[in-house]
Amino acid sequence: MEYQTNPYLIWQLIPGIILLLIGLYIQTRPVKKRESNAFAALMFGGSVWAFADAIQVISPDMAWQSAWSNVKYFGVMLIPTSWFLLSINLTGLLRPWIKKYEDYFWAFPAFSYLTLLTNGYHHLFFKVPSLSTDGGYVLLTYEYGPLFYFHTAYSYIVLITGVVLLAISLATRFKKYGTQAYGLIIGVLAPLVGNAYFLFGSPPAGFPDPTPIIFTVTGIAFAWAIFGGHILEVVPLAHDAIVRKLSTGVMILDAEKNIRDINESAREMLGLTSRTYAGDSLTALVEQNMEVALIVNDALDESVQEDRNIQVAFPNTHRTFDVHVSHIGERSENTTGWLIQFNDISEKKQVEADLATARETLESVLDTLQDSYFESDLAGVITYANLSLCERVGLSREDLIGKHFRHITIREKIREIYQSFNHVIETKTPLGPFEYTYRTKGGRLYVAETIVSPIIEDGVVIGTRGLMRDITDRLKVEREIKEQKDLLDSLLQQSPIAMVINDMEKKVTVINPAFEKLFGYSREETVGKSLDELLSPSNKKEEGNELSTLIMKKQETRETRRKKKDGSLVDVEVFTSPFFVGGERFGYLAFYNDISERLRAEADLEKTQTSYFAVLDTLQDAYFEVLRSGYFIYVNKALCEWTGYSREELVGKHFRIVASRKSVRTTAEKHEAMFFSGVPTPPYDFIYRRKDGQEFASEIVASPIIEDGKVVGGRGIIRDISVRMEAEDILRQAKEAAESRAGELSAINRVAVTVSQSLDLKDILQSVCRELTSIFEIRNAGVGLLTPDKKNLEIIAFHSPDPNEESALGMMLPVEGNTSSREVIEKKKTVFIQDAQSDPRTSSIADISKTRGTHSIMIVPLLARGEAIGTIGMPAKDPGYVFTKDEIELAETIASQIAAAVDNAQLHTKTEKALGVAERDLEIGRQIQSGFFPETLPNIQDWEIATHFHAARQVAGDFFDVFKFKDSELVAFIIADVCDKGVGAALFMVLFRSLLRAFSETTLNSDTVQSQLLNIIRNTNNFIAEYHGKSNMFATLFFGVLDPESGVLYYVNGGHEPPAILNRKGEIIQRLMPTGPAVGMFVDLEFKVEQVHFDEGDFLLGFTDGTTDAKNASGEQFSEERLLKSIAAPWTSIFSMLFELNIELKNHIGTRNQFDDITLIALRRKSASDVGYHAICRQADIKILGELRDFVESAAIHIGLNNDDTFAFKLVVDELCANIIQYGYKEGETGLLSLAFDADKKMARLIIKDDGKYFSPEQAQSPDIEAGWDERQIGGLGIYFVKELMDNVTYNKVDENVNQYILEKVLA
Amino acid sequence: MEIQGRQVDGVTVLSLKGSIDAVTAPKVTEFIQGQIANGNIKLVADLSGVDYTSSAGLRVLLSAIKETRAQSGDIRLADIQPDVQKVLNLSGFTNILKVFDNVDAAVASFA
Repeated sequence: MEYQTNPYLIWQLIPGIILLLIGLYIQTRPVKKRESNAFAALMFGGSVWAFADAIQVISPDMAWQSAWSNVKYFGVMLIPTSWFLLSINLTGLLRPWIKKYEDYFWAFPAFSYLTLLTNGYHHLFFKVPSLSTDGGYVLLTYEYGPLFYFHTAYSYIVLITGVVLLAISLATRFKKYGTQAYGLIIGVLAPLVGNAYFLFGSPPAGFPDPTPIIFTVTGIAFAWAIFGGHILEVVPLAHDAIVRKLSTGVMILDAEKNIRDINESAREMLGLTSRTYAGDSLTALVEQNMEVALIVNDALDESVQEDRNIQVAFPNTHRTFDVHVSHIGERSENTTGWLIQFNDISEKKQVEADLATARETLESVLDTLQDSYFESDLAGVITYANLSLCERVGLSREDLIGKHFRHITIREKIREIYQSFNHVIETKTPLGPFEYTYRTKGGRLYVAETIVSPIIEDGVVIGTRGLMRDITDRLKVEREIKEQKDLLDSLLQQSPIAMVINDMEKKVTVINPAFEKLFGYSREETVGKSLDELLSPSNKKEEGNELSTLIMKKQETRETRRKKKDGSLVDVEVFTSPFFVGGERFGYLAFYNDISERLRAEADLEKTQTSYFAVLDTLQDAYFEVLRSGYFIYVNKALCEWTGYSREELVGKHFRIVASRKSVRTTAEKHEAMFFSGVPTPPYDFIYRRKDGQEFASEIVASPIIEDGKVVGGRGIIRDISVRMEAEDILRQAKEAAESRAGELSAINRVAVTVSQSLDLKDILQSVCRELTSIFEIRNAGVGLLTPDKKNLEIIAFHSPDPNEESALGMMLPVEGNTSSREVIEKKKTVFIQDAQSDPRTSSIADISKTRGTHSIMIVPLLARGEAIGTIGMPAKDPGYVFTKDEIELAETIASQIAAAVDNAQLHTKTEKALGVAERDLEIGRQIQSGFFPETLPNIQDWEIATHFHAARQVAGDFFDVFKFKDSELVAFIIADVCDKGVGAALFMVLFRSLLRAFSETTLNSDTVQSQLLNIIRNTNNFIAEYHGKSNMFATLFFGVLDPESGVLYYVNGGHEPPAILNRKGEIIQRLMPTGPAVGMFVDLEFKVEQVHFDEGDFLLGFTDGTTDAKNASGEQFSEERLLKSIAAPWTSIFSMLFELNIELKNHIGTRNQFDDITLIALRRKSASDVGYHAICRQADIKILGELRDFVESAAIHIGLNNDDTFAFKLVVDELCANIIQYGYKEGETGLLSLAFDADKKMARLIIKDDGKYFSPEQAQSPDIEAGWDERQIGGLGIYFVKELMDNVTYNKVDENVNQYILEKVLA
Repeated sequence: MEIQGRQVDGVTVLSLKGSIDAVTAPKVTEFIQGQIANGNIKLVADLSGVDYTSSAGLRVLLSAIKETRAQSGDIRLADIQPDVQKVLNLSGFTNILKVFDNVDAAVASFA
């Protein structure tokens, strides 16, 4: 046997090898398993075909040729099916139908091959084979059996189908394949061309079947097109370099969730051992590895198209993965695959957990701090607050965190705080300590010394943190100390008593003006010097030293003599006391009272008394003084001479020693009566007995000696009446002259005390008049003040000890013609008139003087700041009395004291009047404010809008506005609160409103509304900030633009209280949080437009902080919580909601004056189900009467009332509501009316509620309907109708602020 | 509320349309007083277009009656609708007013 040679052998072997290499190469590529399997099968089939065919051809005999033929057919039969499956997998066409049955296609070739192998038994595939020679070559030839044709038919069908599929795919998606398309075209065309050549061409003899060669072309083309297109490019290198070595785990899945690529990191992280999983189905991998399952399954939820991040944690291994899944594929088409990236973040997690623990520890430490600590973000929103801050502010941490700093800052300081925070953020440097005033939830204010520093992360400021030390108490203490100090200062400055404070070294630290005046030393000359050195006269140094040492220990009062600067001596009473500062002994203080006057007076008195007794001794009459017990304490010379006793013998003896036995009893009785009553005895006869026993008749007159209001004894004169009277007179005058000097000082003191105690002018002067009457011997005292025109003196205080004397209070004394008063006022000098009734200087008041019986009068000027402001008139008790120089001086001193007080009081009154002017300004402000509210609200189809405004006592800056945009259905909806109060705020409110209106003068439509709204707010903000920045004015502002058609509200919330949105069930569904800061603070602030959609029945309530801060009598705020609770109910009308809310508010507020405006604005999308409720609520305005009648009519018809009953209710509602609106509300007052209507078969009932003034229908008079036309009265008819048409009418106050009519009618 | 006046045989016929209530009554009063001030004291109110009145309308009428009759004139009503009739009955105004079925009869009554 000999192998034949064949020139084509080499052409057979080359494709065989190429195909085998391609097949093997493909298996190593990370491609779809099915695709590569089919391709590999194709290549392998071609390779087997080529090799076996080559060997068959050169085989020598039939048996070998037949055997290699069988091997060849194994390759041949692989090709059609693998080609078909490859085309399906490559194009994706038909795949959805065939996917499940893909493997079954191998049944055909398997069956065909089986029949081929068993052909020897049945010869159905080939008939009997024979060897033939063709062109010198021996070839095995067959006649084909039926099964061969079956195989061929199947092969061609699937081959052509594959070609067609590829062609279709190429045609429709040519672009998508890109350059690969050319490879595919060649790959597809090659078998077709080859086959055509084999069938229709004429191959030379021995030419082998070209199919394997053709598939080589196909294989190369496909390998290049599908798998190898990038082999030689940089990308795969980069891919290897980057993806494979990436520390991030990367896994790429195709649409069928086959793994197309997985890098080293991913394998390591997932603990995969095999080198490659490329091409594996994910499902298979998931089954093997639970961790992959958790990561990937969670990631691949096909319903989610977006990229997303998830974290997967494995509790067992303590590992956490951060998984990012991105979908590969164009948006319009389905996913073509997924890129899964994952990082092992276990360590990061651990670090985070450690950080969190550290943070927790820190926070627990922060919570133990007494000082408040906070952190806030860049916008000023609090992100952390420690316990202390929460407690101080009165909010829970949950409530406080997330709140803007603004909410706990007093309004006046908001701008400052913004600037402080911005400063910290911009300069990255800490700021403070500065004083920061914050307010608690309850509205109390606290002051904190605050340090703010930036929170810096990675060099970027991400927020601020601050420490706040409450210094409210410290400030309070400081204030108190200052007050104390002021008090002390004023005491020191104004006291007429000389004062000095010495330190422990007896050095002077403080002296007062009175000290300077008394001793002649200035402050500079004394401070730091030894007081003893300064003031001790040379002979009293010892005493000064001893005294000051003594008083270091205790208080001491002593009379001594001190040296003035000029060397003269002054008698003083020194009161000294140790002086403590803060519990520590500081030194001592000393008060010096100049007592030289008093001592002089005392000396005078002593002198007088001596002379008095001398006088008594010169008396020819006997004089004696006895104790109550009757023992002599004094006898004069005459008595001694008369009785023959020496003075020593009599003093200390009982009176009876000189009394005759006959007179003892009478004398004792008379004296006893005198002692008892205190009334002098009238003269009575007395017989005295001399030492020698002789008795003489005489006359005694005795008077009691009274000390401190008590009768301590008596004095008497024995002789005839004329001499006795004379003696007594002299005695009295002498005594009083002496005593009055001593009394002066205390009088001044009493007046001074009175003056300083009260600021009320009339009170002061009244007391002064009372004092004057007790100081001087006067009938009364009156103070006249010059009227502003200076033409009259008005008596504004008057006192007379005699209750029967007519008061001169309120009397006007003309200055003109009243020379005395003019003289007093012009010359600023006291005038004394001996007889006011006849003196020409008082001619103009002569009549008054006559009526009042005034003769002797002293008129003293009241001088304030060099000007006479009035006079004090003091008529003497004794018409002929002449006021002494001392008395006039005293009166002048007192007058100068009280003039200052009068002046002060007048200044005070002027200030109060000025305040009155300010009140009027406020009224103007209020009018400005209310004048700029819209008169009527626009009517919007299917929507309800309602507003409520309650002015504060003071003008606040609230405003609201609702208007339609020009040529548009869009409606502007504004609520705002301008900071500050008063006329200024009102004017700014007008400015804000005008700017908003002006910038809104533009045509809006739904497409441009957002940008235009933003422009309105920006322009307004910039205008205010630019032109009025100095005023530091700004407003919190909610500006909504409603598109009534779509139900969308576009809005900008510039730092305003977030309006609440509630659904028809009354559940709060949203708060429209600020989208920017308050408007007008700085130029170019950032604002954002947000939008919210209203479903039917949804409503919005906007409010200002005056609403939530409204206080009741005990100072509690209404609170946002209560506000939201009040409105959280299903409403059928926004008006009903406002009605109930208003009642809540009114009940809360009571009669308390409100500090801030209450402004409410509400918006509701009507609901189809509103119809059918028989209730309505409307603003109490006369214009709504028609609407109310319509409501009653439709409700009545709906309930099923007949015409008459319907009419009755309609008329009654009209009459009552007209009354309520006209009489229940003041002009300009807004109120609400609410009607509810229901009925059963027997009875219909209508309830009308209003919040106006209670007005009883009983007050209306019933008209006489029988009366003729000329007697009929207008009025009362409405109420008459009500009574006539209704069967039962009750009207009462059901609540503090709600009146209710219940009208019932029995149905016919 | 609409109100117009026209002269028919020396009589002023006032045509009213709408409802008379506290809101509209002042307008009616003003119009009638204008007529009286111009010397038109023989008035016929054509109420065919008035479907409703409250006591506010009666007050208008009463003041018109008093002023016209003081000058030997009168105001007479014509063509009253049921709901207005009810109010007139209820108030006893039918006793002091002359009421006619139509405007012509009312105008003729002044002759």
